[in-house]
Formats: sequence, C-alpha cells, structure tokens
Amino acid sequence: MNVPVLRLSMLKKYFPYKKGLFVKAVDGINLEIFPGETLGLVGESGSGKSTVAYTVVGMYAPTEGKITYKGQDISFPSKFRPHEMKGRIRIVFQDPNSSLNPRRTIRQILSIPLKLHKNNSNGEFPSSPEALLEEVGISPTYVHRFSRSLSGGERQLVAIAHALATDPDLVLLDEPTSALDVSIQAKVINRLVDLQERHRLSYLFITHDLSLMRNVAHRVAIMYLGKMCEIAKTREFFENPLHPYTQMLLSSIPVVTGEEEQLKPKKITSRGEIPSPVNIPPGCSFNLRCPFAMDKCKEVDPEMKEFEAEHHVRCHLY
Amino acid sequence: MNDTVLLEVKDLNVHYRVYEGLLHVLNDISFSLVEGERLGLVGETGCGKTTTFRALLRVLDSNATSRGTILYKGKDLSRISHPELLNMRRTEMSMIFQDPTSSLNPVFTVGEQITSVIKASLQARNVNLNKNDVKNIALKALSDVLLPDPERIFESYPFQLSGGMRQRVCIAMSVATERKLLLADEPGTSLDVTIQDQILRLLNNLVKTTGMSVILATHSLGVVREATDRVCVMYGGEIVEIGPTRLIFANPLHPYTKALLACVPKLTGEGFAEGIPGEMIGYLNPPPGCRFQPRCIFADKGECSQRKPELKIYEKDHFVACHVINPN
Amino acid sequence: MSADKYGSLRNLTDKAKRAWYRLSKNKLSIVGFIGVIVIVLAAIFAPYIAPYPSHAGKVVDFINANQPPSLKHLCGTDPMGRDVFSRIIFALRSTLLMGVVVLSISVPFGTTMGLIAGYFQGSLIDSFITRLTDIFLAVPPLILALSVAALLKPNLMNAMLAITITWWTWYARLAYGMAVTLNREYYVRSAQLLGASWVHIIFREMLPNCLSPILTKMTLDMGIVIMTAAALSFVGLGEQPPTPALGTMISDGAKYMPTQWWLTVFPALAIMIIVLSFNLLGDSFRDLFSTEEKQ
Repeated sequence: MNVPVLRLSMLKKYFPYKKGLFVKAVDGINLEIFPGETLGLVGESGSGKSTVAYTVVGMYAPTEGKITYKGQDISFPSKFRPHEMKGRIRIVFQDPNSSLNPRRTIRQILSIPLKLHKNNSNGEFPSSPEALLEEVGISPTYVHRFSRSLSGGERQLVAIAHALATDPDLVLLDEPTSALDVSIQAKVINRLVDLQERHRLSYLFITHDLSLMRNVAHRVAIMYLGKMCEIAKTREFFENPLHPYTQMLLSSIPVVTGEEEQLKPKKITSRGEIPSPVNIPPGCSFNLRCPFAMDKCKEVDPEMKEFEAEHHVRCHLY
Repeated sequence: MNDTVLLEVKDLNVHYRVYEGLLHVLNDISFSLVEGERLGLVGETGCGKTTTFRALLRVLDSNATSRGTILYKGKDLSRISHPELLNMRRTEMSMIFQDPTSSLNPVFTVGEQITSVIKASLQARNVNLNKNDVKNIALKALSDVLLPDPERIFESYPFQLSGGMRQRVCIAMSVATERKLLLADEPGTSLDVTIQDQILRLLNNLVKTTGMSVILATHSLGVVREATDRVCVMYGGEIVEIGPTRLIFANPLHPYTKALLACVPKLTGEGFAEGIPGEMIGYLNPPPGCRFQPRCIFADKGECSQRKPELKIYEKDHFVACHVINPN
Repeated sequence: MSADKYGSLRNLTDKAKRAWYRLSKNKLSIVGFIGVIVIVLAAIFAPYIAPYPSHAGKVVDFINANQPPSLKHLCGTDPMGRDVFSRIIFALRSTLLMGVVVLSISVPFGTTMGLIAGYFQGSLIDSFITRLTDIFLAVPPLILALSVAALLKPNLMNAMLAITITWWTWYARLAYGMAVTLNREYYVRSAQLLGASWVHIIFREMLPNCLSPILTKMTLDMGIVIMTAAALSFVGLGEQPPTPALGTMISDGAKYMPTQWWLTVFPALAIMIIVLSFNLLGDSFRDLFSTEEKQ
C-alpha cells in the first residue's frame, strides 16, 4: 500500500563535454523513497549524488529515465512542472552562505515561498516567517536580520525553514551540515529528525560523512561515478558491507572510539585517485582501485542483484 | 620523537581592533612541542586555531596585536628582526592551508610555483644551485608525496589537478627543502575521506622519515585521534585541555572535551547527542572567568564565572583547565 | 534583542555608522566627501553664496572689465565686467544638473537592460540587447553628442540627451556581467525552482546584489560626465550664454591667454576640483564595498 513518494527509474544525466564526449554524472540510478523515511545517499566527489538531487528537484532535465512523484511523472525541469509541484519537492543546499540572499532580510527571504505557495498550506502549517522560524527553533526576532549576522548553524536552519515553507512531502538535503561544526551539526540534525516526525517528511539525505549517515538514515545507498554500488537498510549496510568500495570507504573514516574501530572493516588501503567522470574505465567503473578485481571486472559491468532481503549490491563477487 | 623542545609558546595573547571595540581572541595560550612530535590543535570554528598559526608565523592581519613569547629553538620569534623572520619562514617553518585551491596561484604552473619556493629556501641557506638541480629537487618532492607522474604534474596548472593532488602539491612545496616545523591547517577537510586518509598517512610518514614536527589544526576529533601524538583542545581562544592523544580519548576530563566527543556521530549508531547548549561567547567582552562557563552543565556559578581556570596537571602529561575537575 | 518594528531602521543607522567608520580611516575619502558636499551645497545655494549673483545673467559693467583677481573679485572679472567667481558658482548648477540628469536616466535604463540580458543569457533577448549595447558602445560619446547637436538645437537639454544615449551602455555591460555571475547563486536558483517570476528574480534578488559596483561607477562617472559636458560646452553645444557654463568660460577665455589667465585657469581649476572630489568619493565607495564583502 505504501506508494513511494519518489521513484527513480534508470535515471541518467549526461553533460556534453567536448565533441561527442559526455560527463556521465548519473548513469542509470534506480531508487525509491517512502513516506516518512530518510534515504541516505553516500559518495565521494564525482559520484553524481548532488546531480541526482538537482535533477530530481528540477534544475536539470534528465537525459534518460523517469522520475515519478507519487505515481505522477515529473521527468522534466521544474519550469515545465505544474506550479503546485514546485512546492512539494524542496532542496536545502550545502553552503548556508550562498543559499540565502545576503541583501535581503530573513523576513523577505521567507516570504517568497510563503507567498508563492500559500494555497498548499492546509491552515495548520506555519504560514508566517515568524512561525516558520519558531518551527525550526530560532527566535522569531531574527526576521529583521540579514543572513550575515547569523551563525552558520542558524543560516542552515533558516534554509530549512525556507524549504518547509511550502509544506513539502520530500526534502532533498545536499550535505546540509558539512560546513558546520560538530556541535552545531547535532542541533541541526536533531531538529531535522524532529520535523520529519512531526510532518511525516521524507528526506533524501546526501553526505560523505558515513558516521553521520549511520545515525540519520533508515536506508543507505552508495554511489560511485554515477552508478549505485550498494543499497541496504542502515544497520545491514554498516555491519555487513558487501561492495569493495563500501568497505574501502568505511575503513578510511577516522573514528573516535575503540568500539567504532572494531566495527570498521579490515583496513583496505584506499589506492589511487577517483577517475574523472569523463574517462570512465570499461567494465566495472571501480575496477582500477578495487583490491579484488578479477578479469571479468575489466570487461563486463555488473548488474544490481538482490543479495539478501532488501540488500542489493552491484558487483561480480556476488 | 626525541626530547629536544622545538617550540615553546608562553602566554600568547592576540586581539583584533574592530568597529565595535577590541576582540580578545587568544587568551594566554601556552604549549610546547618537541622534535618529531605531532601536535593536534582541535576546536570548533572561531576558537582561534588559525589565529594561533598566524601568530606563530607572524602573519596576522593588520588590525591585530599580539603579546607573549614564542620561543623557537630558543629564539623569541616576536622579537627577531624582519630578515631573520623571512629566513625562518624560508628554511624552518612552513604552513599548508585549508583550501588547496586558493593556496595555489592559478596563472602559474605547479613547476613554476614549487621551484620559486625552493629557490627562495636555498638562497636563504646560501646554497646556489642551477635550474636543473632545482627542478630535480621539485620532482623528488612531488614523488615523495606520492603523486603519480611527477613530470606531468610539474608542467600542469592547478586547475588541471584534483583537490587531493593540489593538497599534495602544497605539502610538496612545504617539505621540498628540509623543514623542522610544518603547520597544517585543516589539511583534509575539503577533500574526500579516502584522499584525506592518504594525506594523513603521508604526513605521518614524513614525520617518521624526516623527523620534522607537525602541528595539525582541525575540528575533526577523528582526525586528531589518528594523526597526532598529543592534543590541545581549544575553546574560545584558550587551551582547556592538553595531553597525549591516547589519554585524552581514553579519559576526557574537561566538560567541553566530553561534550564535543559526545556530539560526534558514532559508527555504532547510538543516535545524536543534544549538542552543546548556548553559543560561543563573543570575544568583545569575554567573561573574566572560564569562557566555557555559560554553556557548561557542571559549572559552579561562583568560581567558574569569576576566576579563569589555570592548566593543572591531572595525570602524567595530562593537563586540564577547570575548577570543577579536581586533580587527585 | 527586543522584538522591534524599528528593526529595519536600526539596520540602516547601524550600516551608516559602520560605513562612516570605515570611510573615515582613509583621509582622502574624507577630502572627497567634504569636497562633494561643498560643491553640491554651493550649487544649491548659489544665489546666496555668490558675491555678485546678478553677474550670472545679463549684466555688463565695462568699467570693471578684465580686472585681475583681487579681494573684490576673487577670480577677477571677464571682458564684460562680470565677476568670474560668481559665474563659476552658478556654472556649478548646470554642471551638476548635467551629471545628475544623465545618470538618473542612463543608470536605471542601462542596468535593467543588462540584468534582463544577463538573466536570459543565451536567448534571443540576450542577443538583441547585447548587439544593441555593442552598437552604441562602438560610437565615442563625444562624436555622437556632436552629431545629435548638429541635428537639434544646441542647448543644455539636447546636450544631456546626447550623452545619455551613449551612457546607458556601460551600465548594461556591468549589469550583464553581474547577472551572469549571479545566475549561479543558490538563492537565485532557489527562487527559480519555486516558480518566482523573472521580474521578481531580477529586481528583488539580483539587483540588490549589484548595487555596490553600480553605485561606485556612478560616482566615478560624475566626473567623466562633467568633463564630457564641459567639452560639449567648450565647442558651444550646451548651455547657451548668458547662463554660465564652465566649458564655455574656458573657451571664451582661451583667446585672452596668457595675459588674462584668470579667465581660463579658474574655471578649469573648478572642473578639476569637482572631478577630483567625485573620484575620491567613488574610490572610497569602492573600498567600502569591497571590505563590506570581506566581512
């Protein structure tokens, strides 16, 4: 009965680079997000995770594939989507400094989504800038201020308030706390979780911080060079990582306690650079850095297979 | 790591003059560093790590004033002449910055930049080498930092390289000629975690092979745990705890250190701490007592807000500045 | 922080105070600032400041003609016996008026065109506006002004028209460059994703972020417009006699150089002081805005 809020089917986004060449930023992604759940998307630079978010929210037109919102096809840029749709899927960007107009007061910034989408709200949702600020835990007196007099954490909370102003169903969070200190991060994340419970929001949470992901997401997907490598429920993902890239990533994160150290997979020394998305090696895109690469890996690109219940992996080892 | 003290900082104070008045940032910072040691400066944004580095190299902004002693191999850096200071920067100390993209000049090739640094350093040591020898030193430095194909990198412009490679170029520039002290300001923060891992291992290796010392400033406790021998925990322009890394993580004493550790999300999946209540104090009118007191859950309103706690020894080499924690 | 309706007012006064703090650090900025204020006030209150206000009009006093500078006539008198100093003060009016009118028309128009072209970069509108800008930029302002004056009657109004026609293009260029950069800002994209209209995005999101360079250029431009206007009146295309204009005074006095040097030197000095003051002020604006961004 659970209709996914978002479904991506073989989503591809290529950017033309030079004559005939493409940057295959997103190369065939399938995923679903259900109401009230947080799907984590993990990957390093060049993985395409931000591009996925930008395509879903409508900044880019997909090159191929489908984006479905509650069954409705929205596989085109936002300017071609019905006006109401624009308020249903919102995005919070990574850099809190440039996502708020430095020359506008907080009130002016928050008034825009409220005004443009006032029909969406069903009356019980906060409908004024002050109410929105209270909703995210900031004092309503901040409406007169400019973003430059706010701290990083406060700016990000305002950005979240901006996203919530249209009563969305799905919020895409692109590295929302990467630029923040760890103590502020805790506050912001707690607020996000709280809001999710109160308004039954779905989140697509993008980050490179695996420790953060472990405590925030219900399910985790990992991307490498535009393709999905593994997707599983959070606990499974961390306790039984299957894909060599997942293992490599997990083994490189710096942790702070001995228990975490035990949990990390045996040290797979990360080797090599991440190849540029223009020059994707043939076969499995990870084969140049994979310590378990076989001959087959250099020729044939593996398919996503279900290894266990709800744990999918794309690797010739399985 | 031997016992020769390389750097000794005593009662370092830095304040900035701004529109509203004076910002009292660094407040009697004291620490020391021995040869071959990796010291971590850990603290959140605004705690004064970068200011400390700038004070050490004496490159503070024009509206800043600093007081205190900085003894490098016995010489007080705050009193030496400008030519001596230049010499110091060319031969003894170097710094790598947080953002490798803006640390490299985009209109010059990597080769041009690294050779100019090497030439300056050699000149300061009164060594004269020809162009070819300088280039060889540069190539060796580039391969020491594990860059593939140093010849190609030598001819490239910074925009043609990835973030990790740029950071390694910066490290190569810093260690191409022998240095005693490397100041690393958030060296891996803007990089992917696998590349950051490589960079940190590279730094560890350099310390082992050349015996140089490193001061590593970061806000990541995980990095500190893996890449330092001793740690200073900074808050609000003061050092609140200092000790061997192992001890600090096994037995964190200062309330801020404890709170910070609790805020770090754990791989074990325990969920999130509440964060630290309140905000960092403003530097304009810092309280006379402990700067962490307004946010401290253990604080005793009386003494903590009136008297600044001094660093006292708690166990071997482990110092804490706190009234509430009593040294046994 | 008390909940206040006066929050926005407080913002402004605070901003002004900080601006003054930064401005006052540079002595030259203060010189420029004071210079501009003095000039503007002198122009406004000319009838009350000038020692011989009637000399700006139809007055002839041959007894006192061609007097060198003295205590009675600070800058001497001209061949008609009129006090040069008073005429200079009155000439300030048309000088400043020229600058103000030209800029108040060309800046809004040019900026709007530039922002629209930049926002819709790559479209037909962009091509159209950019080509139009290129055409007007290809013509030197003075040549165009001369052509316009040749077609129309030579007077102050037409001279202003002539300069305005070319002036807007510089602002269009400036605004275009800013718009193209601002297109990538997240807050602009965010507004687009929400379905905000281009009018809103251009005037509410982008324009406030363009003000600094435009304001700076405007101030620096005052000097250039004034010099162009002086050049026009030098060749007789501007304010017609007997109303004094600085350029006209210089050209009239040129015949009498070097014996009656005061007829040319003082008006020229006046132009120099005006342009210098505006330039210093413009420089300080530029410094002000760049440090503001640094903070």
